[in-house]
Amino acid sequence: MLRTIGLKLVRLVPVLFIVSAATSLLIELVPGDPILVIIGAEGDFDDYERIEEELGLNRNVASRYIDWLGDIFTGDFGEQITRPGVKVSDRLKQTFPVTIQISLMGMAMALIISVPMGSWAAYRAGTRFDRYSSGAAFGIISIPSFLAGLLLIYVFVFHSTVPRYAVLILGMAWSLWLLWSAARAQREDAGGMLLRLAAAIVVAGLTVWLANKWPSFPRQGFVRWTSEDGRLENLRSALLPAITVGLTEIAVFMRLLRGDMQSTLQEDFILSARAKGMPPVRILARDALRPSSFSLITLAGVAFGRLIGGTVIVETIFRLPGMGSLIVNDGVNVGDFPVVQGGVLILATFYVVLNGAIDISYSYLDPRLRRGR
Amino acid sequence: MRSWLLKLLALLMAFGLVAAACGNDDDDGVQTAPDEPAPTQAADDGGDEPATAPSDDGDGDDAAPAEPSDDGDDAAPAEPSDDGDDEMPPAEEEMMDACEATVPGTEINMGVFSETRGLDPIITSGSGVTGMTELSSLYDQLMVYDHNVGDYVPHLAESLTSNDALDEWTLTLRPGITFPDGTPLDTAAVEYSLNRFLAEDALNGSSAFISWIEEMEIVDDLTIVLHLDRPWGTFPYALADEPGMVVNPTVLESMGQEEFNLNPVDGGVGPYNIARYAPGEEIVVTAKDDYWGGPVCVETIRFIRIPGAPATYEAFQNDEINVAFLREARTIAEARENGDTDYGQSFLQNAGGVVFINNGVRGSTPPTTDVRLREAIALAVDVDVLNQRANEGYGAANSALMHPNSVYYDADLFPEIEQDLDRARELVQEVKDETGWDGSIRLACHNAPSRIDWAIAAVALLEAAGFQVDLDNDGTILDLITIVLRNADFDLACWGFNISDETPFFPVIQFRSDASNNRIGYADPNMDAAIDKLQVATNSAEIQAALAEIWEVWQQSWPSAIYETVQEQIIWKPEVKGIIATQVSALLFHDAYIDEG
Repeated sequence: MLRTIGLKLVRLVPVLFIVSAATSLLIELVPGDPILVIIGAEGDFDDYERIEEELGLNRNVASRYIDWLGDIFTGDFGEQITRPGVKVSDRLKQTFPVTIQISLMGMAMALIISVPMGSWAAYRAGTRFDRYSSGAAFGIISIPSFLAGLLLIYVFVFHSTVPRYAVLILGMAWSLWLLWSAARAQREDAGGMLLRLAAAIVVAGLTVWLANKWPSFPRQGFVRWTSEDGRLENLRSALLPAITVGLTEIAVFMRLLRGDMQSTLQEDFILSARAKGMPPVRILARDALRPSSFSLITLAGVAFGRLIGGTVIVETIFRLPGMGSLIVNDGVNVGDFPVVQGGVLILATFYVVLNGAIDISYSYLDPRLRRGR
Repeated sequence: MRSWLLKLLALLMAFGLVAAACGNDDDDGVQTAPDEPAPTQAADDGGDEPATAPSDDGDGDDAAPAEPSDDGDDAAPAEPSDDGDDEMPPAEEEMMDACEATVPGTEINMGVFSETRGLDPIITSGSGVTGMTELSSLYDQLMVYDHNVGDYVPHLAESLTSNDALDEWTLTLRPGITFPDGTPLDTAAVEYSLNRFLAEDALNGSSAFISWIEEMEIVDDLTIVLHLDRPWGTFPYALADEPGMVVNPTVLESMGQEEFNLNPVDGGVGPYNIARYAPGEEIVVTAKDDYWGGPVCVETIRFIRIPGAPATYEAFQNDEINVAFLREARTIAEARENGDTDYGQSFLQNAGGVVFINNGVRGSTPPTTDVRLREAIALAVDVDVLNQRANEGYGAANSALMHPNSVYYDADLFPEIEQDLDRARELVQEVKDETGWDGSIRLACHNAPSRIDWAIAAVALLEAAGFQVDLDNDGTILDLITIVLRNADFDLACWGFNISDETPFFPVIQFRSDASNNRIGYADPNMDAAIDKLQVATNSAEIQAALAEIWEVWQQSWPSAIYETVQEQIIWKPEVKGIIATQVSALLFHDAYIDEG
């Protein structure tokens, strides 16, 4: 195992070299001049060449890249060109946790919702639940994240009564349905009736509690996990952005898992488990989920890496001080190459390490792969 | 059993309904635009744009007007849009009462227009649009513009007087003001601060006019005489801008400039000290206990930038910020409809939207060196069409140098240029016939959505007059700056002059033939003479007369074509009191308090 990890770490080096070199070249091709930001439209353009020389921006891209690379080996990410004195490493430290938290919350939400729903849809393939959940998934996939974010703001920030009453109505309806089913079940199954009755009361109680304690969500901004305002404030500020980034993933994961699990459920060992009278939940959770989750885990890893670097739209909509907006707004748009280089390097490292970890996880999921190695 | 269940069911339903009815409705009272979805252009507000810059979609409109002067001879200062109480600095005793009214822990959260590049006055350039409000809270200024008086008044200074020739200004400081570390605010500190703007490597826009100070003569600790190389009637403006923010030499020397730019603790004598500067996130300042001007009521001010005016206004509506800077016509109109501009201040940027015309800058020879074509462009422009296309009609369409809401406006002095396509066609044809020019002309703009719409209309109007327009609007605003300012490779460009009522002289100086910031190569001795008059003007009547003369010359030599006045609107919640709006869209918070009662 250590050898595998070591090999993957060694492979990391050329990948990061290629990524950083390619980024250097690409940033040269993208419009954006940091000197214009420094001078401003009122500035004296006679100063342009002086500043260009002072900052070393008149040198060719290769020599700038080599300098940057040399500094990176000493742990120096350089300074932002357009903000005098601001270290890129400080900006990365400031923004990376924000993006990680939003992405993690989004991914966790997506997995928590998509795994049971996808599994159940596969188990009940062709039923109403399968059709409705598939239809909903297609609908969600077709909503771009910027639109989802704006819709969430519209509903949860400016019309918060709507989701609150929706929760109340749905919760009460669920509770009533449980009561109804308890009433129908009374003669055959007294235990089941009591269970449903208890569930109805719990659901009703939770619904009322939730409706009363419905939180107000901020339109913008981010309260840090370490802020003195508290963890709840952090979660309150992170929830809508996390839903925005997680929403599409829910639908994709659900569709993917449904397909894979449907195949798995046709396998002999599942038929055998069914024949033995195993309950469906146990079959799905313990027998079918693991062999069905290869594609899901691979995709989740790729999606997580993509989210880390691709949350710029969500960060802009909710004004989150994250990596995406740092790289795009403070880097690419103004040609501030140390910001872009540093940001991309961190993201690439994270992405490669994450995918390496996913590769390693396969051997745990499938013993055949372990033995094959 | 069934009846028992039904009773329970009914009980549950009743309980649910009661609970729903008793629910917390605190967050339901948010007022928002009726049935209007959230904005879709959060990222394209051109937010980092300097005050004098390419025109963007942050355009103005015509509401919350300052009272137009009733006669041309005595232009009155702009009236604040509220009852004026907020602008009157309370006496210290009243301030103590105000501070008692302020609920402990309350703070001001301000949504600013763009982020400052730093907290050192030498780094930040310009106005309230680009960080002056934040810096004022840390440093104060020697002079400030008082909208009630309509003139600059001493602030850190006790007085500022000139000789008759207006080229020697004597500045006297208030006695007893010290920086938090005990360093006195004296003339040595003032000289130190001004010298930073005179340094060769200074990159501040204000350096251009501070360089007119040819000698600083320190009389004593509190008195310094500034000798200018030319007369300047509104010199107090210079000391109300960044050069008037005196930095603590002791702190700056010990920190070094880079560190000072990021964390200038004890670096100024303003009412606040820096608590947190997180670029891209927020600037937090906390009140000083020993502010020279008396107690500071609001303990904390947080400055944040929310991309786009619609999102900024939404945050204001949602009570996440209680002061907001808006610079987009439609959002300002929405705020006005909702009554949110009742508390706040509007600022005009006259000639904020212009077709910038290359008159032959840096020896270039575009077709527009011919004055007839420049006139044809001005006559081809229909300001209402451009306003409708770019601002959905919410902007302040205007083709004259000063807008009707300007304190200097007079209908006789500043007549609008009416569209005259027939005359424009004649002029274009005349040039074609004489020179063999084929009518082709380049128009550069940038890719913000409203500017794309604007460019479509501008091209149509110009082509109707006989031009063949080659439009280049693929790039960003920085690309446009490169084309216009760095390369000077343009015929026409979308741009803005931004002539504010508080300081009309400084933007207008770019029309002088010898001005270093003359970006269009315009040269007219009559304009030079008119600008000279503006330079020595000392009161509003003289300023108005000089501006009128400039406009008269403008209509002879057509340096550019004006189509819009930009409005900047700062709004605050009714409970926020005592904010002082000063020059160039900046705010002062030393007298601010929050009256929740």
